[in-house]
Amino acid sequence: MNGSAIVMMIFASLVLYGGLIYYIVQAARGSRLRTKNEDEQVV
Amino acid sequence: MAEARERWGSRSSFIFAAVGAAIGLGNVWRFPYITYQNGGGAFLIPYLIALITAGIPLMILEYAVGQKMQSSPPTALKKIWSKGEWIGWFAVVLVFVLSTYYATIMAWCVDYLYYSFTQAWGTTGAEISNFFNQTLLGKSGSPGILGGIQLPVLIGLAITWLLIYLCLFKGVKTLGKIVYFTVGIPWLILIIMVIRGLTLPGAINGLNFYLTPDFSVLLSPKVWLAAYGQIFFTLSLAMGTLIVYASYLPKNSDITANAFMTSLANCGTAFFAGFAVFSTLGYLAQSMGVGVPEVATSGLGLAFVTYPAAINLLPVAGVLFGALFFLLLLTLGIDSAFSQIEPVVGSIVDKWGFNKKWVLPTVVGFGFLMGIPYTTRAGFYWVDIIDHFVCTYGLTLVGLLECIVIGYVFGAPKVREYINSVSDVRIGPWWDVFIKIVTPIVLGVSFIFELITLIRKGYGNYPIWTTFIGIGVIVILLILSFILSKRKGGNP
Repeated sequence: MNGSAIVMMIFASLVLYGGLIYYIVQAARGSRLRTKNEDEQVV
Repeated sequence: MAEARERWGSRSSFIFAAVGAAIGLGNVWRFPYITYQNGGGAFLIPYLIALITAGIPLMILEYAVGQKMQSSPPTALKKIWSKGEWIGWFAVVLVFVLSTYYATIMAWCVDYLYYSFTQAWGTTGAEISNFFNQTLLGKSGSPGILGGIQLPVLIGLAITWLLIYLCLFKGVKTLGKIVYFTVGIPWLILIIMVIRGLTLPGAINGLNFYLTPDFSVLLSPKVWLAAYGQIFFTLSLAMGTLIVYASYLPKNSDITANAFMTSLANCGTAFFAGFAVFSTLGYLAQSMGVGVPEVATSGLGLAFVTYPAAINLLPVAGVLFGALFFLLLLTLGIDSAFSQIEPVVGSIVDKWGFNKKWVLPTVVGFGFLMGIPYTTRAGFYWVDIIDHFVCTYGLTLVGLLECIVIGYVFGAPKVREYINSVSDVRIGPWWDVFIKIVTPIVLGVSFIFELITLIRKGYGNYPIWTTFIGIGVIVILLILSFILSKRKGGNP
C-alpha cells in the first residue's frame, strides 16, 4: 500500500476503533454504578 | 390496566440490536464504493465530520425521545408536541414500505446462498450477469411490464418473512439474544473474508484504490453531501427503529455512550468491510488483466455479479467463500429487516393496545403480500424506484421534522438536560447547535438539491410516469399518517 493510503487507514482506525474502545470502557465503568438502579426499574 | 412495557435483557442486548439495525447491506456494498468514488481516503474526512456533526447528535436525539417517552414514534412525538403524532406515523409507514422491498433484496440473498453451493451462476462474466438479470429476476425491460412472478424470488421472500417473524415473535428479551448471533456472525465472516482477501494476489492494488486520498475533492459540495447522506442512511435514522428500541430501556439508562458505541461500531464495520471488498476487487482485476476501476462497482452489481465472478476465480474453497459471502449478506440484512418491523408493531400496540401476538403475524403477512409485486419481472425496477423516493425524500423529511420539533418546539436544552441526567458522558451546548442548525441545514439542502434534480430530469432512465408514481406514494403515505394520527387510540 502506498504511504498516503496507510496514513488515512491509521487515521480512520484511530478515530473509529479508538473511539469505540473508549466508549466501551466508559460504559463498562458507568454500568457498574448504574446496574442496581436499572435493575430496580426493570422489575 | 396497561401491560408493563417490554424490556431488553441487558444493556449489551440493546447495543447489539441497535448496531444490528444500523449495519446492513449498505455497509458492505455501498460505503466502500462511495469512498473510492469520492476521493478515496480523503472521503473519510467529510464522512467522520458528518458522523460527529449529524449522525451521532441525531442518534442521541432519537434515543432520548424513545427512552424519555417510553413509547414508539407516534406516541412519543405526540407527548413531545400535541400536533406531532403524524410525524411518527410518517416514519412508521415509510419504514413499513421500505421493509417490503428490503425483504425482496433479502430474498435474492436467500436464493444466492442456495445457488452458491453449486455456483449455479455460471463461469464467465456474461453468464453471471445473465443469471442474475434473466434467470433470477427475469427482467422485463420496463417497469410498466410486470410479467409473471419469479418463483425462486417468491420462495426467497416467504423464507425472509418467516425468518423475520421467528426473530420477533418471542418478544424483545429473546430478540436481545438473537442479535448476538445476527451481529456476531457477520463480524466473524468479515474477519475471515478480510484475511482471505489480503492474502490474494493484487489485493494491495485494490486497497490503494480504496484508500489513496485525493484531497482536491474536499472542495466539492457533492462529496460533502454524499458523506452526510451516507451517514444519515447507514445509521437507520428517522425510521422509528431507534426510538422504539430505546423505549424498551428503563428511563434512567445511559444515552450518550450508547449512541457513540452504536454509531462507531456501525461505521467501523463499514470501513472494515471495504478491506474485504477492495482486496477481492484487486484480485479480480489482476486475474482479468484489467484495472481496478473497470471491476469496481457497488450495490446489486457488486453483490450479485462482480463478487460471484471473483469467487469463481478463487484458487481454493470457492464454494465455501461463496456461501460465506451470501451468509454474510443474509445475516447483515436480517437484523435490519426485523428492526424495520418492530416500530410498526410497537406503534400499533402502543396506540390501540392490541395484543402483540396478533399484530405481529398480521404485519408480517401484510408485508409479504405487499412484497409480491417486487417478485414480478419488473420487481427490480420498482425496488430501485420506491427506494429512491422513500429514502431520498421521505426519510430525509422525517429527519428534518424531528430536528425542528425537538430543537425548536420542545427545546433542545430541555432534552439535553434529560440526556445529561442519565448519561455518564455529558454533552454540551454543541449538541443544540448540531440539532437546531447543522443537521437541518444539511438535510434541507440535500432535500432541495434532490428535488430540483428530480424536477429537471425525473428519476433514473425510467419513463416519466414512474416519477409521478414515486411522488404519489410519498403523498399517499403522508395522508395516511395524518389519518392514523387522527384515529382515536385505545391505550391511555
